[in-house]
Amino acid sequence: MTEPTEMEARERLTLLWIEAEPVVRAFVFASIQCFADAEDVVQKVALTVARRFDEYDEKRPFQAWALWLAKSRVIDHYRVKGREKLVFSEPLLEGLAQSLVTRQPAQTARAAALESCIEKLPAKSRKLMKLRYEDGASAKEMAEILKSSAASVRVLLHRVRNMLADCINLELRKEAQ
Amino acid sequence: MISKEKQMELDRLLDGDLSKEEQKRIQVVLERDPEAIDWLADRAWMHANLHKSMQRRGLKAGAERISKEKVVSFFGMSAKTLRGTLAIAAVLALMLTLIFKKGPLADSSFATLEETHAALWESGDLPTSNGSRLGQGTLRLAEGLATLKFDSGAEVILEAPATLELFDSMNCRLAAGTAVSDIPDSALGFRIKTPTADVVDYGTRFAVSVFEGTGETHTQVIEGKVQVEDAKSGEVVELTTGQRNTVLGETFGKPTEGENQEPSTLPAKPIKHGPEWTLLEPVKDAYTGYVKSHNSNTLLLVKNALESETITRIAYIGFDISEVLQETIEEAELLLHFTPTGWGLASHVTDSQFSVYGMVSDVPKWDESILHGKFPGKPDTVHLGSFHIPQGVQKGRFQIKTEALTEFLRDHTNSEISFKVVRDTVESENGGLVHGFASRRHPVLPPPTLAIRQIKVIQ
Repeated sequence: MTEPTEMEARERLTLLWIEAEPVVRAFVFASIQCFADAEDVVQKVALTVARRFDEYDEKRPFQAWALWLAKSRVIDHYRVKGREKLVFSEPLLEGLAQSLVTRQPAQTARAAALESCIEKLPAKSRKLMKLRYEDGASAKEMAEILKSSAASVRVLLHRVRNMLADCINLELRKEAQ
Repeated sequence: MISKEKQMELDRLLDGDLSKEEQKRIQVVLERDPEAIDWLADRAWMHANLHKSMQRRGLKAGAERISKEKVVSFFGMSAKTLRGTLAIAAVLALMLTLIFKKGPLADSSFATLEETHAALWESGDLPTSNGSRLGQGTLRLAEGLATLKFDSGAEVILEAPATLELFDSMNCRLAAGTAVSDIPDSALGFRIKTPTADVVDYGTRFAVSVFEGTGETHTQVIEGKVQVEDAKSGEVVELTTGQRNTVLGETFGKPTEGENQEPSTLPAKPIKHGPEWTLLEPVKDAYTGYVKSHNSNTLLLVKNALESETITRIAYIGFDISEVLQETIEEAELLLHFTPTGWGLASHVTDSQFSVYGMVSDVPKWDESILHGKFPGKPDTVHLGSFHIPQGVQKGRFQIKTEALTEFLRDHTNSEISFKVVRDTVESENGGLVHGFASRRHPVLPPPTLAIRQIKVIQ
């Protein structure tokens, strides 16, 4: 078999990354709670994936390979931070990566379902999601803004996420039929 | 199904809303309950992609306040839209053009990756094939040994697990692991920084070890002279041949043995044998030989020292095979799980042969109180098999599966079986690696395991 040309390699990487990125993102955001830091690390993983793409063995699942690189980047992040400790032990990171690979198929469809489910959220729930994810507000900050308590904000956040999870599963089932 | 309370806690974990104590508790839950990990994985996917989506919506709406946060990674756009796809393709194409065409750091290299032994690399930003030219960047060696030759003439053997940052042909930083350096006159003043110390060489061979997490730095001069400076206080000490020094926090300056620590290990794959196999765990195990501060209760240490017999370590393992009908034994295997001990230099021990012996006739009574001490008596032994561990490899499962082992078990007159495990290979220089495998007290790794396959007996 001949070696792929540079252009073919680029196209292949692009397609593989589009499918893997949401899973890598999930892994990094589970391990690093600060949004800005997590975004930085996702970017670093993307760069590492591109730089080391020639080492990728096509026989292995790409997502697993990208998550393996992501694990090192997460550990690096905490190493540089020094004071902060890894939230998860290494075996737990492995377990999380494995679970993500096996449980999150059909990334494009799933991402599309999420978009449509956000659209369907009631205005109040949308506002909550906006405060948390767009403005990066903590439960305490959200409680101040909404003149509520942090405890009730946590419950509300949990409920909205449950609504979204149910909605995504429903959308995916519909699509499968 | 995990409880509502646990689900809430996992949501709070993702939100960075848990105290340290709560984090520890939830970690225990996750370690015990695979269902909780799956739930977290699903939730993390939504959490992360909600962030991406809401950020993109915010951008679209032109909200000004989000400009203060680093928002959109170049992959942070919807993969579904053509625009998003094109953007991703364009960025990747640009990155790849840089990487494919120019080659990383091609013009600013100052060192060569000369050779490797059983090397396994983790993500770093430097090339890792033998003969690669290296510039500024980081090497992360997960397993094995790697030899770097700097253009200044300095040679550094990196022992895994290690992280080395390269600055120029006279400077590097060891964040974790061990570096054994050989410095010719041309590289006098070669410097290895660590999180706690600055080690400057004055024509010598020396080893620096850094323990990840604490940053504790051990410097050992094999030959010649080095200067160690405490990064915090600026205090300086000179070490000459045979001397060592430890730097950690307030501890500095005394040429001392220093206390090492056992690196953590990952769980190994479970032993898988078919249903016709019986797996036995030891009823006792221990090793002999003692060195102050260099001992373990969870590992069985094995070493063949060059000079001193007292620091030679031999492991002993006892099994009870009374449950096995000896005459039905068809084949047998003894499996040992090796893991880094954190003591000694891998570069001072070549590829190693280990042998397993079975004790025959008049085996003295022994129990785990011999740990760190001496074995009572010198019973006759029979060689049952050997295995090899390449230089630089410190972990993995190694086993013997020989006819001699099967016969030994079949013909043994007593239901208590004792094995002795020795390293036949003597270290090439003092201070060589101490090998170690998991004992029955190891919290994570499988204990020494005797796997026995029997002929089916129709009753």
